[in-house]
Amino acid sequence: MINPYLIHLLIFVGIYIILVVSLNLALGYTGLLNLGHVAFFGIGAYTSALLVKAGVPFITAFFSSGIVAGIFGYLLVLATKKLKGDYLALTTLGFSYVVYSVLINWGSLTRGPLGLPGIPKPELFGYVITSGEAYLLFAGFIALLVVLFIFFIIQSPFGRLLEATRDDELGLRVLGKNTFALKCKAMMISAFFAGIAGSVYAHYITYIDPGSFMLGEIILMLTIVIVGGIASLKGSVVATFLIILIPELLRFFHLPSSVLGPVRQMLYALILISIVLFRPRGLFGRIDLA
Amino acid sequence: MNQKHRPYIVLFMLSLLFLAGCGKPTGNQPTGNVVVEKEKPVVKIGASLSLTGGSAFMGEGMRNAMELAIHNLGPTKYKYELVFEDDAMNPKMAADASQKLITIDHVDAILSLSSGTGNVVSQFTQPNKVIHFGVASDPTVAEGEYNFIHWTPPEEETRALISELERRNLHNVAFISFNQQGEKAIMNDFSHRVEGTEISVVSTKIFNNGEKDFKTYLLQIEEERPDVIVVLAFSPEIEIIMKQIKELDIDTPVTSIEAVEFSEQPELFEGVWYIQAADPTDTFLADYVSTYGKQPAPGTANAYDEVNMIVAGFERAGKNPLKKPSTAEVVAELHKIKDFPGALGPLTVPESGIVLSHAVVRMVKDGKFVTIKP
Amino acid sequence: MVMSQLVMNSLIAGSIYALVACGFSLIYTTNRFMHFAHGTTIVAAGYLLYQLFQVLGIPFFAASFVSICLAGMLGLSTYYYLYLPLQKRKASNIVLLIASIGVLIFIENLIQLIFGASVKSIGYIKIARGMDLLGAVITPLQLTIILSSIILLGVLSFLMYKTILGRNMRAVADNPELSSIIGIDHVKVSKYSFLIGSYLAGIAGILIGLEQNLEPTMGTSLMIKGFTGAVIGGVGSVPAAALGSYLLGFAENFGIWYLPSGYKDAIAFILLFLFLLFRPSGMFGREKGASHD
Repeated sequence: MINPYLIHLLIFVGIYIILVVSLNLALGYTGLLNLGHVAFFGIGAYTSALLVKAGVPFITAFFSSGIVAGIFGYLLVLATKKLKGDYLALTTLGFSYVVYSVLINWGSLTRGPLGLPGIPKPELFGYVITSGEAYLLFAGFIALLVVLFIFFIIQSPFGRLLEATRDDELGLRVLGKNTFALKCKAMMISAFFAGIAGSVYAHYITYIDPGSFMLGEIILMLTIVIVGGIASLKGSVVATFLIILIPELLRFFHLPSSVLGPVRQMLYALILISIVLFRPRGLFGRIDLA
Repeated sequence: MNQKHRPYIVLFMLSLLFLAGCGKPTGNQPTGNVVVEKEKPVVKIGASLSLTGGSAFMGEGMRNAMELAIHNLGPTKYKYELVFEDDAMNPKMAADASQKLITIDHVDAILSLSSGTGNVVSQFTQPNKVIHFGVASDPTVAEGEYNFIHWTPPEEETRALISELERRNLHNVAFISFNQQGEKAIMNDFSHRVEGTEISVVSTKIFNNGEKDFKTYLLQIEEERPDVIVVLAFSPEIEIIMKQIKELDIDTPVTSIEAVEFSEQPELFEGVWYIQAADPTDTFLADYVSTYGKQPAPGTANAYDEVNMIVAGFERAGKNPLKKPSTAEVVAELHKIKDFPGALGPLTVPESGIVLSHAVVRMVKDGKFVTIKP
Repeated sequence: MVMSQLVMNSLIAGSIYALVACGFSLIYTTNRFMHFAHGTTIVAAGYLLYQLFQVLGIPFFAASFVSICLAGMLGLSTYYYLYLPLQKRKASNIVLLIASIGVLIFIENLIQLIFGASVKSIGYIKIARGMDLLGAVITPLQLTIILSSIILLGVLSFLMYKTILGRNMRAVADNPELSSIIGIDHVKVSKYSFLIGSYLAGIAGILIGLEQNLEPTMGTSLMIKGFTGAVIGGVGSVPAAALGSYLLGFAENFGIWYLPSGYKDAIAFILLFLFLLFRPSGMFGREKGASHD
């Protein structure tokens, strides 16, 4: 019998594995530093929650969340096609802020800062997933599928083309490959899975608000990717366990709460800085953060 | 040791540490149920509060009040203990905190603060049969028989505001408000209620988190010539709004709901009348101020009452001093509470589970807060 | 009357953004990466002043001077102990950006740990009605903010275009490889730009702390506005970044005159997004640095 608290944390690990592995596909394997990943997560969560609340079956809403996020992924990559490096990073960060502004101001659809309470638990083939154990199976299964799918992508010739785009885009273009189409596909797949993660998140926690999809979340995802290692699937999975579970340990040290909150954030920051300084490949990365 | 295996070893050690952390309290659990010694059974009351971040002052007030309530308990059948977790008013962290409280600490009841986190906590407490009291304006927080709210609802605050506006013959109202749940609920209810009356809303300005410049909003509001400006914001924004009102030499009267008494610069509000959602009794106020050296925050007196109601529920439902009652029995007892002597006056738990307290009108006179209309 | 007040409000807001943007873009010009932790240098300076003046009772101008100097040291040591080792390893801009976000979060939370989350106000100036100026009301502090930003803009332009240090900075900015061939010490130029940029952060921290009070987390929102202003003007040039900041101040204040009030932040974000997409070199920038990495 696993402790229900651990089950709860493992459900979050599952959700973050989907997010981080898909972010690594764009960031690590394709070399697109996308800080808009959290926006896809939010778009997916809102799409799924609003559709189910409007009476659409869960399974339809689930896939729609991925598709809508994927469409936004396409639009973002289309818009930022000329940008590179930190300009791309900051434009995609700007995209996250724009999505946040829309979520908080479009009150008639999203209820703005009031958030959406009472999101129903998922219903699959007449079975409603309510217990923690069942939800862990559901989230774990989706996470496993996503990891396997991305594993096959990176092993395939398509995956090798993506890595070639990252390493030598010009060279690939000389060979007559359409690198823009490659980036588009990578970004859409990445956004699709972030949207799916949004759906899994929204129906688990049953309440979402725009503030849940902001700067702090981007930094968390980025930290996990960097700690695990750029372009390392194994690293992303292992680092998700570490980064989600370690701060929870702090709860058992009985620190005063005015200390606990800042210390938790400082811990993330220190991990990030020391990885960047001393172990730029992360835990399992094959290539430097460069 | 091979360099390649190092990450695995680190991971392994950490997971051991983690399991040890999780496992320990669970291992102790059975001894708590099997009563061997004649020790009093322990009732644990947990709290998922914002103890860090911008709203930390409210979380701290609630924590203080909970400790004060336990300290002030007379002789009881059972022993009462408190467990605090920080959620920074973030729904995800509230989910972590309430799961930890329910399944590791095995609490019998949880207190929460804010509608957003309350909505998350309530869905974990209901299936686990844990009593939950939220300080929240959103009534969905009280759905399910284990979930309760103890807060002055927006309707009560707007009622008090409107009647005071009528009394003072102030008809054209302008709002400047933080874009957040409670404030939004008040404005929605206000515009609903004043339909067809002499009072009308002439201007509404909404600002988001982190805003520090209100000069243009105030300029726009003054263009509509309001009789009164209602500021719906807390620290740090409300002080800056008041400062900019003074600097711009705007002489339209200002009023507010809830925020005035928690400002660290009360001199900014001299002569201002405002709605105070809760009216703590003088005894509670004196007790709190002498213990903690400061005024209670919004929700503070509510937390004090919530603990006392939960304790009353357990004491009344408990027939056997060696075994604490089930939470279902306590819930049944809670619903019987009527005219309970609370820090916020007599309290009654209705069918809806939403415990009301009354709003009053107060004024800052020579730096002191004086009730002008109970 | 109303229009002149609106213009004045825009100018005050723009000046605050310009104070943030100047130091940031000075550092960007010579180093070619986004030093996001600049925002917390500003906040750290404000809190230092609070500690020295409000808590320890040191006279205001002495306390301000010390705070500005310490802000300079903070910026310089971030460069020396973090960015320089990374640059020596030829880390990319993105790595430096990530490192600077790490520093931002770290210092922000350190401040919260020391001073707590609640607001601190530096009670140096009594709150009073402002004075009339050109048909608008403005306080002496706000006037000081406007004048400081204009004076700093002048001083920085002089530094960049009329001194040897400025010439070297621009040379490094234009072509790092060529400038090192002709004997310009890149590290030395970078050190100076971090030192001067962080002194500017110190000045900004004091003026903004007086005007807006202090909160540990205000660095991020200040940085977002200052950065947006810099991008609108052209992040690679200090005067352009300052002009862009004024423009942002006007866009926001005139924007909410016509749009629903809640969209004030959205105006900044959408401008940022549009400029990065269509004119990443900014309104007044000449180079096209963005597409080339």
